Amino acid sequence: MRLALVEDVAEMRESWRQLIDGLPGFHCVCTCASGREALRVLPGIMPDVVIMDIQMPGMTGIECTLRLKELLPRTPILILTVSADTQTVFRALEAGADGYLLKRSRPDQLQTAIQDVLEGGAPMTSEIARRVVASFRQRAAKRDETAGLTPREEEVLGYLSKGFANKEIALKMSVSYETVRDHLRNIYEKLHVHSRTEAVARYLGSSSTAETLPPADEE
Amino acid sequence: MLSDPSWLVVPTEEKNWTTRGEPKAGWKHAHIVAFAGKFDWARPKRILSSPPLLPRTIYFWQRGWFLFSMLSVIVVAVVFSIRQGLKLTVQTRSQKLLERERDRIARDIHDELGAGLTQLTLLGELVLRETPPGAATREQLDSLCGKTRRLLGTMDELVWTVNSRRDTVQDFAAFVCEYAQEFLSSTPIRCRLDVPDHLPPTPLDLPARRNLLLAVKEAVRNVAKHSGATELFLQIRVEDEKLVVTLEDNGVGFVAKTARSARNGLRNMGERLSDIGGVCRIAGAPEKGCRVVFSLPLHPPTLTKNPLAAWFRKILRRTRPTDSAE
Repeated sequence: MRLALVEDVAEMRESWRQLIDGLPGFHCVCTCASGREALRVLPGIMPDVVIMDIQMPGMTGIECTLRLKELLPRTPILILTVSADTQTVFRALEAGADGYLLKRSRPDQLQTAIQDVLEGGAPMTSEIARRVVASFRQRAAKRDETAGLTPREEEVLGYLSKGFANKEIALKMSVSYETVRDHLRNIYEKLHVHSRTEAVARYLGSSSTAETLPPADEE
Repeated sequence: MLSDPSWLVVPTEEKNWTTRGEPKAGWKHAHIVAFAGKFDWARPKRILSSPPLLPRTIYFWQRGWFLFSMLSVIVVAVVFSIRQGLKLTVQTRSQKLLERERDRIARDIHDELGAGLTQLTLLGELVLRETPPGAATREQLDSLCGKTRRLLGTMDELVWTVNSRRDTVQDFAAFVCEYAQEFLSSTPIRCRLDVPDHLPPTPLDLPARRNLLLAVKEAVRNVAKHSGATELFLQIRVEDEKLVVTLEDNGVGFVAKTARSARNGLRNMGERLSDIGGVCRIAGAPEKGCRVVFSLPLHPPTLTKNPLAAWFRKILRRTRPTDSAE
């Protein structure tokens, strides 16, 4: 698996790269020091997963995620954050991230997180699940959304917000673990699609639609 | 004396005499005694008696001293209200500044300390990886990494507590749920959450936030250490303007000889709640699990003693910057 890392602090970049290289099956093929560099370089590299620091000067991790999803829609993005502030993490998910990981996680947790993100989406904490439900409900109230959540997906989110783990949900719903994972992947996709316009307006400061994103490099 | 016979005296009871064309018969002739300027007013012709002059009743509210004192009371009241208004403005402005500084400090802690500790953890992990298995230093390095991780967790919590943008009941519930889930993920205890979708945006002030969080942490730790439970139900509700946090486990419940540390913990929880005006109730029976209920009265923003302060607070809340990207 080829990974790319976007992190502004040089020492951390080096440490993370070494850590990732040490994980079996993963190789850090590219490191970027800024969001702009990532947007310039990564489309050419085409990594399997992008690991992105959420807090960077200049272009934030969230903004870079937003723009990068435009250029590499099939590449999952894992957000790295120092604190687990639900609000921030949820915004990152809305912008297109497929999961988040605390920077203080252990290497085995890092590995699990990367694998989860490759399979379609990291497990959601109860708070994130709750926000996802609220976000969809809000959108449904505003206008008729054709691609809302299916009843099964809502059920999965319901269990997640009560604190059940994926395996337990599979038991509860009498389906396989893979089915639950597929539901989760669809939920992430729908969330990204739904929140894109809003996220663009919020972070790029214009009411342009996703198709007409302004160019990243204004220099 | 001259007397002009054309002047007649109209009797007092006569009405509408001004519209008459001719005088009525019976009206007496008027005696004109003098023309102005020609009569000697110093020597009156006749003095008629007049009823004695009674002093006019001046009510007390017409008296000078009363009016003056009322005026001074009004002036004092106006000056006082203006001063209070100014003091309130100054106070709320300084409060806002303090809040902003507090946020800035929290952000600095998060950025500087957080980044530094994270780097320490990473370096520790890298060195740990280089250490051959079985070496004595391996255990120490592992312990080092564990400590730095815990420090980061503590820092996260401190920053959250102090963050004035995460001060509502909703934010508290989110943080507590995340904490419980994360803490119990490394234990065999499953965490079951029961939190409504919409909690009121009532603010919890800093002491309340902090104490309640610490009490909940204590309760969760107790369950992890002493209960031997397989499930912990965490329920957060707002009912009757009270925030109620319930933690119920299906463990061994109260044992006759509860460990001293557990008893201390229980007392701590009670103290934490009473410090913020809340109540901690613990119920349980042997083999039937244990239930801890924290109950804290909330003060809705409109119900403050000073309605002017409440109005100010509302204005400030409306002009507070909305959540930024970070």
